[in-house]
Formats: sequence, C-alpha cells, structure tokens
Amino acid sequence: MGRVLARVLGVVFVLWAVVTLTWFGAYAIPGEPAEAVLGGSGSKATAEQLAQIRAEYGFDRPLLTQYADMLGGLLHGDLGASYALKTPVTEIIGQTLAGTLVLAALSLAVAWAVAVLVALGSTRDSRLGTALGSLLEVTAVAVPHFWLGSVLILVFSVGLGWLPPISAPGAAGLVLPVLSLALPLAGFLGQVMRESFLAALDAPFTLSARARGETETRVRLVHALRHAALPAISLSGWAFGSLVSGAVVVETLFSRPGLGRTLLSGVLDGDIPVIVGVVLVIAVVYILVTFATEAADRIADPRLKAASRPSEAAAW
Amino acid sequence: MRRTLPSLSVALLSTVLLAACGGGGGGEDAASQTPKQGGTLVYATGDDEPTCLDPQSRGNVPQALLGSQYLESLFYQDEKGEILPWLATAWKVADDGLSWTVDLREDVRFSDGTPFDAAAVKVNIERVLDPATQSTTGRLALSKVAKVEATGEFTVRIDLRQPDGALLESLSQVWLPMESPTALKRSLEENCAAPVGTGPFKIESWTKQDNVTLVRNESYSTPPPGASHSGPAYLDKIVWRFVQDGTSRFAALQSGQVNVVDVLEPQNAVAAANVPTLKTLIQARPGEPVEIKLNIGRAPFDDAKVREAFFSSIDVAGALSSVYLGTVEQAKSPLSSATRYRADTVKHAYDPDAAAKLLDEAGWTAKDANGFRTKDGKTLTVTLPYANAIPLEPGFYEQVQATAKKVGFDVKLEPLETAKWWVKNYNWDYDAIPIYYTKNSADVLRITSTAAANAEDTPGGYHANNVRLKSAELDAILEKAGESSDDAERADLYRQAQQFLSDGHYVLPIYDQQTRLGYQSKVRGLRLLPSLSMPYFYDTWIDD
Amino acid sequence: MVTRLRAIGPAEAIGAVLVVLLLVAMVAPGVLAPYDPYEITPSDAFQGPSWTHWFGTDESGRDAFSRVIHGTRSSLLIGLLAMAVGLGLAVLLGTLAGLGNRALDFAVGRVLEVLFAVPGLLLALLFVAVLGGGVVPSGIAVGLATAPGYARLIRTQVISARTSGYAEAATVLGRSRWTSLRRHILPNMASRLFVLATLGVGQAVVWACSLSFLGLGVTPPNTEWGAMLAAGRGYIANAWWLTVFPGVFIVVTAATLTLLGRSFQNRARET
Repeated sequence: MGRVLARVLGVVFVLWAVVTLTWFGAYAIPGEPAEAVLGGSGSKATAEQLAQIRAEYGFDRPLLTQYADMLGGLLHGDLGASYALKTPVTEIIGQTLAGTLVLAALSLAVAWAVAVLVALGSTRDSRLGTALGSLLEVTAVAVPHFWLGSVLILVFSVGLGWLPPISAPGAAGLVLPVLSLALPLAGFLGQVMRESFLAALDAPFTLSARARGETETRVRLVHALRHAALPAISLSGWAFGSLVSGAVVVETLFSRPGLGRTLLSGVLDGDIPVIVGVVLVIAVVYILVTFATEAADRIADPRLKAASRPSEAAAW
Repeated sequence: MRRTLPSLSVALLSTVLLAACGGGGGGEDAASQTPKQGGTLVYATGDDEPTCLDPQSRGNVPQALLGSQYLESLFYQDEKGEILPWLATAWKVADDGLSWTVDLREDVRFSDGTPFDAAAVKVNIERVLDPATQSTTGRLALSKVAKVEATGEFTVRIDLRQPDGALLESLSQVWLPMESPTALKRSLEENCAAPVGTGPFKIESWTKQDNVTLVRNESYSTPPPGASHSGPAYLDKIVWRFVQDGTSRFAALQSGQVNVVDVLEPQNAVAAANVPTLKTLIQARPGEPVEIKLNIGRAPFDDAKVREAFFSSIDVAGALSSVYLGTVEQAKSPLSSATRYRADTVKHAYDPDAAAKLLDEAGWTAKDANGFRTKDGKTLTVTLPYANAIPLEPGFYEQVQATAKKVGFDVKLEPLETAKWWVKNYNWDYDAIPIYYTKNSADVLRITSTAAANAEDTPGGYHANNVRLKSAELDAILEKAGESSDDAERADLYRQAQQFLSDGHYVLPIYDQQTRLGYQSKVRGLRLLPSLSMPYFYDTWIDD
Repeated sequence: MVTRLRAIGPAEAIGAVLVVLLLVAMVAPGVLAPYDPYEITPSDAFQGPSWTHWFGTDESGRDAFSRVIHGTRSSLLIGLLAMAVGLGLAVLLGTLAGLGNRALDFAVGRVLEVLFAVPGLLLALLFVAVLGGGVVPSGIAVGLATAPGYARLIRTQVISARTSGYAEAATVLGRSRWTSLRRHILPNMASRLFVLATLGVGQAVVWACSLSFLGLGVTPPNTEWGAMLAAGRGYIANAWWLTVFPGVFIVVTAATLTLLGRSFQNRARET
C-alpha cells in the first residue's frame, strides 16, 4: 500500500514539476502575453488594446498570483484557453492528440519491425552481412528527420507520384511521415538489439537449445530474439519521448495536424496555455507508456536486471 | 571543365515570358469552353493560418486571402483603380467633403438569410471602429469616420471628421467587409470561427492547423463587376489547407494533391514553367512594395549620407537575378506598380565606390580590424531584424550583409519569429527593417509616413511609420492629397510625396509584393480581385 | 569478439582520417576551403557541381564546398558543447544519485523523471526561444535535452562501481565516499564516458539540424550544416546539390563518430 502511495505521489510530483518548469520557461519567452493574445502574423496592436487585454487576462497581476491561478485551474481540469486561437486548450489537444499518438505508435511499430528484420537478417555468420547491417543502422541514426522526409517526398511523391506529400486522410497519407520517423529510430533500436542478440547467440541457453537439436531458425526466432528484445522493450518509453520530439519536425514538414506542431506554434507565438497543456499531456502519456513497458519488462523477465544500455543516452 | 550555362537560366527566360503573357489577371481561358459544374478545389496557402476568420477583427493578408471567398464589400475597385458598385449601387459626396451618402442594393441576403440593409452597414462600420473588435487595418483605414447613420432602409450617410479621398477605396477592401448583423451578435470568438457574409462560398468547418472547408452559397446573388457568369459558383467546395513549408507545398501541387498553391517561391515558379500541367499567376499587390526602411530616429541613419551610402552598397539587381532567378522586377517607386498615382522616383544603383565616398564625407573614415568603419570609436553597425512574414528570401539579406560589408557596414541580421519581429518593430528597435503595407490607395503613404503615424504617445503600441519620419513638408503634401478629390492634383501631390521619400533615402523599394499562385492547368477561370490582388474562385471550375 | 589487442581495422582507419580532416576544418578551414565562403557572386548562382565548384554554388553564387568546410566549426562546436553540457550535468546528477544517501538518490531520480517527461526537443525549443539562436544557446539546449539519458546511465554505473569489490574494500578501509569516487569510480568510468561522448557528439549534430530546420539555428553570415541543409532543401527540385552534399556530410560525420564510439566501446568491453 505504501509503495503504491509513494508511486502516486511521485507521479503527482513529476506532473507538478513539469507544469511549473514549462510555465515559467514559457513565461520567459521574450514578448508579453498580451501581444500573443492580439498577435498573429501581420497583426498590429495599439497600446490601448494591449492595456485592455492585460486587464482582461490579468497579466498585470504579480507573477506568482498568475501561477497559482493556473495551478488552481489545472486542479479543476481547466487547461485554460489558447491566447492565439481563443479556443480551450483541452479542445485543441482533443483535436490533435489522436493524430500524434497514431503517428508515434505506428512509427514505433514500424521501427520495431525494421529493427528486428535487419538484426535477424544480418547477424548470420557472414561478416559482410553484419558489417552492412551495422552500417545501415548507424547511417539511419545519423539522418535528420526533415532531410529524410524531404528525400522521401522527392522520390515517392514528386518523382513516382505514389504517395501524397502533405497529410491526407487514410493510410496513404501516413506512409511517408511514419517512415521519416521510424527509420532513424529503427537504426537505433537495431543497434541495441544487435548487441544483445549477438550476446544471446553465445549464451548458454542457446547452446543448450542447439544441443537439444532445435533448428537454428528456431533458436534465433524463439530464444535469442526474445532475449534480444528485452532491452529494446524497456527503451520503448524513452523511444516514445524521442518520437514526440521527432513529431514536431515531421508534422511541420508534412503539414499534419498534431501535438508536435501545436507545441511548435505555441512556442513561436508565446502561447503559454497551449505550451503548458500540451507538455502536460505528453508527460502523462510518457508516464503511462513507462508504466506499460515496466509491466511488460516484469512479465518478460522476472529478474529485471538493470542492463547497461550505453546507446540510450546518445539520442533523445 | 568549363561551367555550363545552368538549365535554370533557360527555364527562367520562359517564366518571364510566361509572366508577360499571363499578366491580364487570369481568366484568359474561361471563355473558350463551357464551365463544368461541381467538384472540390484544394488550395494550399503558405501564409499563416489566421487566428480569426473575420478580417474585421485584426486585419492581415492571410485573413484577406480566405475572407475574399465568403465576404464582400460595398465597393469594387477595378484594375485601373476606379471604384465600381458592388453591394452599394450609388454614392455621392457632400460639397464640403465631410459626408458621403451611399445607396445600397435592395435584394441581397447574407448567407444566413439575414437581409442586407442600411442598418447592417451601420452595424458593420461601427463594429470596426469599436476597440473591442480589435480591428487594426480596418480601423486605421476608417480613422476619419465620425459616425454612420441609416437615412433610409437602403441608404446610409457616413460623416467624416476630415475629407477623405480614399474612403471608397478603403471600403472596397476585404478588411472592411459587410457581415450579417445576426451573426455579429455572437461573441467575438464565435464570429471569428465562422463569420457570415454575402460571398459565393460560406464556411463549413475549420480544422485548426489543417484546413478551412468552404461550401457553395446556393443563394448567391452579388457577382462583382467583371465576373463571367451569374448565379451560384461552379465549385461545390473549396478545401483551404495550411501548408507552411514551401517545398512540401509545391510538391503537393506537382503530385496533384492540391490544385492551387500560393506564396509560390521563385525557384518553384521557374520549376512550374517546365511542367506542362502547371501554370502560374503572379501579380503585384497595391500599396507599398517590399521595401527596406531605415530608422532615422537614431544613429547611424539619422545622417542622410549614411543612408544613401547604405542603399548604394546593396546590389538589388544582382540579388533579384540570383536569389529570385530574375522572376521579379526591381521596384522603382515607394508605391507598388499596382497602385494608382505611382511615380518612378527611385534611382537606385549598386555603387560601392560612391558609397565609400559618402561614408568618408560623413566622417566614418577609420576602420577596425574586421574592416568595418568606425567614427569616434563606434562601429558602423546596422541591425536588420526580419521575419518569414515579409516575403524577402533569406539569401537576399545575406547578400545585403556581404556587399555592405565591403563598404564597411557591419550588418547584424536578426532572423526572428513573426511575433518577436513585431515587438522590435513597435519599439523602433532596428536600424533597417524590411516591410510592406497592402492598401489599394496611395493614401497608404499617409498611414506609413506622416508624423501623426509616429504614435510617439503610445510606446509599445502599433505604428506604421517605420522610418520615424516627422516632416511638416511631407505631412502637408499627404494631408492635401488625402483631402483632394481632383485627380490631377492628387497625382501631382503623390508624385511629390514619393519624390520626397526617394530623395531623402528613407526607403529602398525592392520588388512589388505579389500574389504568387501556381495551379494545375485544369483549373479554369481563376482570377484575382483587383482591389488587393486576392485570388477569387467564383468563376473557377475544374476541367477534368 | 575474440582478439583482445585487435589491430586497427580499415573502417577505423578511415574513421580516424575523417576525424582528423574534420578537426582541421574546424580549426583552420582556410586550409581546406578553396574559396571565401561569404563571397557573393550573383552571376555564378546555382552552378551545378564541377571541378571548379565541387559541391556547386548556392543562390548567391557562393561555393558550397567552402561553405560546408567553414560550417564545420559551428556544427561541431554545437555538438561538442551539447556533449559537454549533457555529460557534465549527467555526471553531476548521476554521481549524486549513485553516491548520495537514499533521499538524494530519490530526489535526483525525480528530477530525471521530470526531464524525461518533457520531450527533449521541446526543452531545446523553449531554451532557444528564450535565449535566441546561435552556437552557444543551441549547444546548451541540445545538451540539456540529452542530459537525463546520460545521467540515468551514469547513476547505474556509479552504483555498480560502488558495490563492486574494490570500492567496497576502499570504504572498509575508511575512505570517504567522495575519495572513492575520485580515486576509483570516476577513473573506472572514464573510458565509458569517452565512448558516450563520441556517440553523443554525432547525435547532437543531427538534433541541432532540426533546430535549424525549425528556424532556430545560427544566424548568418555564420554557416552551419543544418542551416545549409534547411536552406538548400528549398531548392531540392532545382539544385539538388545544395541539400544532398551537406546532408551527406552530416550523415557521414555522425555515422563516423558513432562507429568510432562503438569500436572504442567494444575495445573497452574486451580489455
């Protein structure tokens, strides 16, 4: 019981800290909020309009009062209204959350599939195959999302005319954005899996499986892969965060409505309620994903050993 | 290996020719075939997504682009700048120039069924003047209006504080549209989401960050002068998408995902010329061209010689031929070529030697270790903040920086987001600033260049006088021009004003701000409303 | 995985040469660049790759190869700074958590969780939005964003080092935790940190590109690979060389650093 309570308190603390950090960070963006309210491109606010907005929104009150107000609102589930769009933040998030979650989930799935295929296919005994697989992974990790996306658009939209370059309803519109997000992540997951896959192939349990006369394919697919997937599974929480970062870029490039793009325009417009609201939602989803991967870990590997994962730190 | 002539130059030549042929404002192909009813047109805009779909609130180009499809004005301004009837049928100005009587059409209903009448006009104009509406462009344009009276069911009288020769021009802008009084009773936010007008389309839905969907107004009855048919529009729907990224936008046009794009980048205008299924429609917007304006309120540009030296150190022609691939012409006037009373008063030439001489004369003779000129221990620094909202390519600024450096200017470029750029703008926190102002009248100079436009008393507030000019001489000229209704006199006064701005080296016009459309050749009957050169899809149909 | 003292392989040799060239480009770009990267020649705009201009010329007639070479400094500085900030912060947090008492470990753990829960790019965006673009803010921004990942890793390392035989022996001998940190744990981690650093620089360069794409990178006339890539992307249909060459440069650099890092990692593990 105590553990559960500690856990809940931990989550509450993290959310509070995320909100506080983001709110003060957003407040520090140059330019005053009243301008964000009247702002937008080519808009011109007069001093009297600014004064009116300051009074209306309470921007002339002490900073801490405004902060307390915002927290109070959050406790009642009120994320406030966007300065620029004047619509409730909950509504904006409602419209964009699904798009980003679908994009991130599909990208994660595709990244997983590609990583498994490359790792499986290139860890045969052939040194050339291994080197090639490794090179592919390292290259994929080193490609910026927006550049990969641009090249994909040039080839598959402009050149071949197969897929739409900007967001479109249905599966066709998802292919290029998902690939742009998934391939760099696949390279990364592949690296992690390859290491543990190779280790697993030399491990005693695979040797004994071989000794029992199981086929090499079965050894690879069942025993080694299961082992190799463990560290990559526990990375999925982290991978989700990285995909959200990538989504900012990919959603902008492919003009997809989504949390990432909402966040970017929020930062560019100094739209504090939007920034805080979106970050809060992302943090909640991140925590949920982390719980899920922890649970998956515990089921798959009761020992739950803290495997050191050097590459985890190398990317976001 | 010798450098080969890039294929770009060839492409470029054909674009220029194409532009020369297509200069008539579009619609050139509509007559030959029978228009087809129906279909959905997808338009991808590179301008910002408006935060409010009602141009009465605020008032910027993104709102004007979209608003032209569902909102209409009292007057129509044709290609020659003449005022023609639209929702108004007749008008008369009093002898003292202080009141206008306007007769209205009697058979018009807004798309929500509310009748259009004198009371509606009164509600609309008063709403724009009400600070609560947060109108900027519209309110500035109506700054001389004292009050509006409905003198009959379909007659209004507009009383002015001062004569205003530009009143009808102002009232033909989409920033001063006529909206349904019933709809205006809603809150500002609700009206922003779905303003109701008399236009050929009406708003069906707005998915933020993605699109605004417009559907045909079946009861449409007010085609503007020059329209090629009557009754409802041909298209069933317009999906107006927001695609900020220029490369993706053009890729979407090339792959057929969208039918029309705007803010067509120069290199893509060239590329479009090589694709048989694509066409371009590029036309100047009225008002001030894209210009670099110098802040004379502080050193170093308080000195006319330094201003002249700075302009002489900029190779505008070279930049337009390279960065713009020669697709735009250098502007020669403080007014765009689409503005009535424009006079070619600017004689600009890239002349580093002359610039150096001028700087010597101005006392900037010493040089520091980096080759920048100094005077009394101060470096000759020019801060130049810019934003995406001003359509000059980054490459242009980089060229300014590089060529000015050769003369000894240390140009500090500050790429900023739009909002931050406006803050710098408000506070005159710059030495040079790129800017344009869209307005269908030479009266734009009164808004941007008179002492009254300085707004000294409203620090932090909006002003359009980026030069910080305070000249009694110029004020007198513009005041007189604004009050005059004599054509020849206005032409002469506005020529004097432009001469004044050019001779003082306050502004350097670069090129006319433009509406730049790329579209599939199956899109027929595309035209621009001449008042602000906004695209207009009433006559448009798709030839599948 | 057998030979302990493996000779330098061809891949490592090529990697080493590339790193040396990058360092030269960073310190003395003039040695490698044939032209002035800022020299405007409008009449030479958009020349394709040739013997005169290996990577072609850009919209202002500037030599793209010279610009890539001169951009090395900013790009790598961002990468190095990001790595230094990220790793520095991580060592601080990680050792605090790993060495301190339970309360401290718990506290640092929560701080890390908070940082993890905020997407890295957002942290960077906010940072750049507040401080403005440029090499230093971009570097710090990317560094801040990568710190939690490193920190979690270092904490694990510190704990495993602390509970390992030699550190426990030192504690038994009456040495303080901080002495054992200085004498035993940090030296033991040094090779690990070096590996992380090599991997991190490459990734930081890639992420800094994203900031440039979003319009929050270095300001002209300074050049940086990400900025060149983002600017060249606009001409992808007309002048492919403006985006392909800087792109290849970024990918090759990041991949080389990663490969070298991994090869060090393998050595560290084998010895």
